[in-house]
Amino acid sequence: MMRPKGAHPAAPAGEDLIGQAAIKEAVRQAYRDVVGKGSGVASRLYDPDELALVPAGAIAQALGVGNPVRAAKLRPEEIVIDLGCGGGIDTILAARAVAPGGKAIGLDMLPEMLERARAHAAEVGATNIEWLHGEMEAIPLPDETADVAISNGVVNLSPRKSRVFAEVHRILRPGGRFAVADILVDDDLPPEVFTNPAAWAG
Amino acid sequence: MQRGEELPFGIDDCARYPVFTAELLDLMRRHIPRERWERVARSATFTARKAERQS
Repeated sequence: MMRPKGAHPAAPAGEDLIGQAAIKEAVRQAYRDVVGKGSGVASRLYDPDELALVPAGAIAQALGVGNPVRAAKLRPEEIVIDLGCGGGIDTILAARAVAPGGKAIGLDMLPEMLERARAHAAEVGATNIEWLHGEMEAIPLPDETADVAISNGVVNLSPRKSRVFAEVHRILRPGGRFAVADILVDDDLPPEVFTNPAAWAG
Repeated sequence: MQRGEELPFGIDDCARYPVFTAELLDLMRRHIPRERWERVARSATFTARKAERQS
């Protein structure tokens, strides 16, 4: 059977992208393809005084849709995890906000993204950051590790969103906060758009 | 749970993101009515708090 035109190669021929593995692979490949590419969205989401704290590379690679760091109202000594940290802009801002005494943890499923983020943090001397390879559906941290979790345009990418929320609940300490910025679609998208594999990553 | 900032997302806003491929943007322009182009979606920020431990 022929694969429908435009279907992702990970999708078995003749099937749609409801399969979680296919969706995850489509997202992983889409983000792998944009490692190092500029987006030009940061100036819409961050204040100039925030952008002054992060290197140009992290600004250029911002792929978020909001400003969860601002919403989280971080305090010194807190431990904050950034789900899907990408190029690291929110992780670096969070690390600044929880210093002194606090720590930011940048989690991403792509090692190549983590390498970029690590380099960006090093560029501005942000040392209170731990970089973690893993998925937000199975966060590789013990229970009640973090005071705050943030995510920026990331939860929408998961085919198992309830699992993500369960994981965030598990790793947060009692009284912990979750600041999430994400995309909402109020009206149905046309099926031609909704079923396109690229839409799962956008 | 607290509701925070919201931003409209149109097709031109989506085009700033490299994960929106030229193919997808073209598909959006062909299949989404022009009157929706400036607000295909919106971003929203929410903050939730985990309950304190019961004593």
